[in-house]
Amino acid sequence: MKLTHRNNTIKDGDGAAVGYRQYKMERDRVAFLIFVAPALIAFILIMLWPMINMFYLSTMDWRGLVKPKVYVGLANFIRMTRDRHFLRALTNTGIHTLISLPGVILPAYMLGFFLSQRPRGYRFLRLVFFSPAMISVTAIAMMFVGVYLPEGILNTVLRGVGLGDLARPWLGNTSTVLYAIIAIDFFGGLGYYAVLFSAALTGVSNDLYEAAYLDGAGRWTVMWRVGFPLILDFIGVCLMLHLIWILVGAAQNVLLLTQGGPGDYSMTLGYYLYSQAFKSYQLGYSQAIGVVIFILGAVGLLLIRKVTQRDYQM
Amino acid sequence: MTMSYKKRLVQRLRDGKTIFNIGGYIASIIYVLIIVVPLYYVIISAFKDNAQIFSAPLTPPSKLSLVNFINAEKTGRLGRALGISLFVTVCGEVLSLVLAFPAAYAIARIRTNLAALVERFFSLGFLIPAFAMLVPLVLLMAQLKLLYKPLSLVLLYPVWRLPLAIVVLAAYLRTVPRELEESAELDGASRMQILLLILFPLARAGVITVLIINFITFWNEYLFALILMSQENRTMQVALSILKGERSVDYGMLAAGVLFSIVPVYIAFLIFQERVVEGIYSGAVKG
Amino acid sequence: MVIRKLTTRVVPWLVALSMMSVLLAGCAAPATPTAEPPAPPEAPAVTEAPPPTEAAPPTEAPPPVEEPAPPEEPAEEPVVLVIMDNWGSEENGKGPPLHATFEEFMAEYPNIKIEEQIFGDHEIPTKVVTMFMAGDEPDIVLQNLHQAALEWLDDGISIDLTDLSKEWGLYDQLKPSAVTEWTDSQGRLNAIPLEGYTWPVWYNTKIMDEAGVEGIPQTVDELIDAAKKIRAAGYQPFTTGGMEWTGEFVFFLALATMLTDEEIPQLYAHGGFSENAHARAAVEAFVKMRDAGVFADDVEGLTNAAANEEFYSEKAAILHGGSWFFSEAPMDIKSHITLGGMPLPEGSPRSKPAIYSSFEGKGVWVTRNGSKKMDAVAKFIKFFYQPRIMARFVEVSAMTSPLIDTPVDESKLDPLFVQSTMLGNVTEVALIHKVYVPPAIDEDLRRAAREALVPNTSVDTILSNLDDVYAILQ
Repeated sequence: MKLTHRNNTIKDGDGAAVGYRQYKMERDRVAFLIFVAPALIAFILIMLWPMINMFYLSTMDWRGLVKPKVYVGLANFIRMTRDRHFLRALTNTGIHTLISLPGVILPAYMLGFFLSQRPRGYRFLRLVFFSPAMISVTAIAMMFVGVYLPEGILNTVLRGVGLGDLARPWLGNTSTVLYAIIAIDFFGGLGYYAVLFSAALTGVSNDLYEAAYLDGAGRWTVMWRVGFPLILDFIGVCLMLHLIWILVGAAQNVLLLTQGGPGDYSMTLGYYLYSQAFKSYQLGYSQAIGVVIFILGAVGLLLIRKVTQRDYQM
Repeated sequence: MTMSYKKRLVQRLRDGKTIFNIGGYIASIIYVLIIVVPLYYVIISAFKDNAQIFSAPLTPPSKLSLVNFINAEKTGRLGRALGISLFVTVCGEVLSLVLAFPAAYAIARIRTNLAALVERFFSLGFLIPAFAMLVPLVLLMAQLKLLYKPLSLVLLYPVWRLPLAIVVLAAYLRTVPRELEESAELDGASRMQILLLILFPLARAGVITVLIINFITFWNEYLFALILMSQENRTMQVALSILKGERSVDYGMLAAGVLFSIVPVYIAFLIFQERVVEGIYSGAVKG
Repeated sequence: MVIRKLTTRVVPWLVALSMMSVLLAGCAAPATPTAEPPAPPEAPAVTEAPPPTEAAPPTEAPPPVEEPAPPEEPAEEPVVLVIMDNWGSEENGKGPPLHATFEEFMAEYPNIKIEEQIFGDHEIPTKVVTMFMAGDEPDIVLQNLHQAALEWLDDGISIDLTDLSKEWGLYDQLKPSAVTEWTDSQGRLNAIPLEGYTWPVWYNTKIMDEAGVEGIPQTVDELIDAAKKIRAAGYQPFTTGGMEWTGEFVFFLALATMLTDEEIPQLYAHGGFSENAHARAAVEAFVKMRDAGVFADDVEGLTNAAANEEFYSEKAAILHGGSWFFSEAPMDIKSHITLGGMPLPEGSPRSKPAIYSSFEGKGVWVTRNGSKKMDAVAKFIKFFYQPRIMARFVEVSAMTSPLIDTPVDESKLDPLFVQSTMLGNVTEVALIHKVYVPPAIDEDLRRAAREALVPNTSVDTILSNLDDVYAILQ
């Protein structure tokens, strides 16, 4: 039975055994390929091939599906530096990332830690916190149409508590529109990550907490000094997921709610890519934006990995 | 008695538990309100007309009229959309397992130096922002003659989420003790038999996890469905966005559509709550 | 042994799995019953069929007659005609008459089956092109003279209809102005014109009377004065969907008040707004209006729907609305709406306030696929353009008929439509710029127009935004 174990545990020069081992390895390799092939082929065809195509198209000037493609090298990328809508989109996506990444994940961690302490009613809280995750992004966007309406719920509440001066058409105002869109992340994402963090923290051995309490540490300290480093890896995973959402997923809120307006004040990279491809028919340019998103994503993910990698022991 | 109570109180205050809990509850209540108030607003709006929604946004409806739901169904053809969404989701789930399970088995169970390589390939593939390559994907679907047909989503969704499914399933398969497999092998079972008869049932926790994560993704996906589907074949999410009409917005109808789309999923969630949270969590941990 | 023990537990799973595989087999079958109506799935198969049968029966049939073929017509091979449009969508008033027409047509020609594909009109260009690439574009498309569609002839997506429409006897029945608009610079007819419109400015005289505004503003200064009074009376003045296309066209119409119809094609094709004195004066007048509060509060953030709602509920006094909105406006406000044009700035080359009026609203395009089943296409188009059928659309949706002669039931006409037919006395039609804008920059130009409505955007910024759009053409 040990045959299947690590390849190089050959005892002494037993030629037959080596031959069998060789044969078995060969056979395993073929079996492996047969089992992996469907998934591999499908993935290469439907994900990897379009990805390679994206890089290829980003070097083309291509203005419509039935138009000729013209190779232009890096011209599309040079054009970005002069395209104020692109620059606005880049800035807005930057703002979105800076607000939403820490703004959603850190409070979510705190709520998650609170939940993991099993306070009275935590089951109910967990249920409510996780509810938005069960509502599709489209449905949430449609809900927020009503929330942000001039006569919508946000303005009604503001007027109700005597802050009527703040009431405004949130999605129609150049200074609030971007933040109104970012705020939707908090509705959907916060509770979702909080519940996931609490699940991660439940796996943490209680002894570690006890030891800290015995040392006289308070809850707050334990939360940040004990719990946080322990699930830092997992927090990193959630940061990555959220970053991907910000870069591409959030385009759908812009598409559904403002189409980048008023003016271009709510333009984001993801939506600009969509709009260039399907409204302006600038296919090459749109895929160059895709490449930028891809690179930003890759850099962001590497950074997150770097930051959240555990380089110290508890 | 009083002593020990006092002592306990001091102790509690010292480790900050009370203050911490108060803070936690306040934060939780605020967040619960953020979630519940818009939901409440949607629920009551679904039974009102525009005039009532604007004049008294937070007042409950005077009567439970279903007219908004009927209009929403008619305008968005939600019934049909529901069918398309179900079709895409179910077929996508099946395809996802058909592709991912054998691959995960091979990665977790067949000893070869290729395994680590392939697993790494897939775990990197997890991070591809598929939306960024919108144009090549449309081209591909056009070449495959699948454009505007539900089959395009049936193909795209599982493959797009394949890395997650494979990595999660492989992680579960690794927890299955080898002995069962080995004794089956001695009994002369083929790999296929082992896969289907032994491992598939034993890894069902992983299978369920994958099914849950995929369900949420497939069911809720909007952007690809918008681009790759015809009006005739629009999914639930696309139909929902149609309700926000171009010329005038009937907010009551929109709210009814939102309710229509979330209630079935939410009921399923209430029933399988633990499983869903656990599934998504382990998906995130292992992915 | 282990296996045997396991199998008992495994059975339910196996059952589930096999059910799944059956389902998957179902998925793999082309285009599934759930996915599409029971219609024949592949159009090409049909296209290939007709020629032999059409050729064969008449010539070879005679000798062995004794067939039990009763009808006088030779049994024709069934043809599926795929028509893409946005009229059939749920919120469009033209849907019911369109579908009734389809039904009648199919009753008259039982061998032709119409399959309708409904999309939003902004989606249609993309859908047609992608489907064209895949080889299965619809046969007939009902679409406006949209930027992207302007290149369909060159791209081989659609066919020139000049000779065909003559052959069908349709050419001479069409209004010459409509034909001119749909004919390109090389003399090709892009599509058969279908929907004409007028696009005037609506004034709510009840609000204006209440505010003490006398008459319909004819100049920018009068409009500014009127806006002040309207605001003082507690109403919003000029509303428009500043976040969407209605807002764009308010800006473009304001621009057109200063431009001559000779300047418009040149300017919109090549840019150069900053250097054009007329354009600069127009933008200056526009900014003056904007800064004086002529437009409703937060206009840059309004959607079409929100702006219409503001006007229909009589919170705002002025709207720039096309004739396609006539039938949806509430009946009780129609009696006190006066249609007019966009007031003119000082020094305008025009003599009366400007409106748009055009036939570019909708045309019937025949595609490459359509040209392969020309017989069915011809039958449909001849059927569709019968005056009595065009009259239906005029009655229900206040569109301007493309036919010289359309017998409408006057009692069914919308009062605003009736009013709009007399606009020639008080307004002047400005050339609509749309068809001159190169498709590649259309969206960017529209965005620049929307930005003009954002407060604090200066005259120079607006002009350079417009010109910047043209930079990518070089």
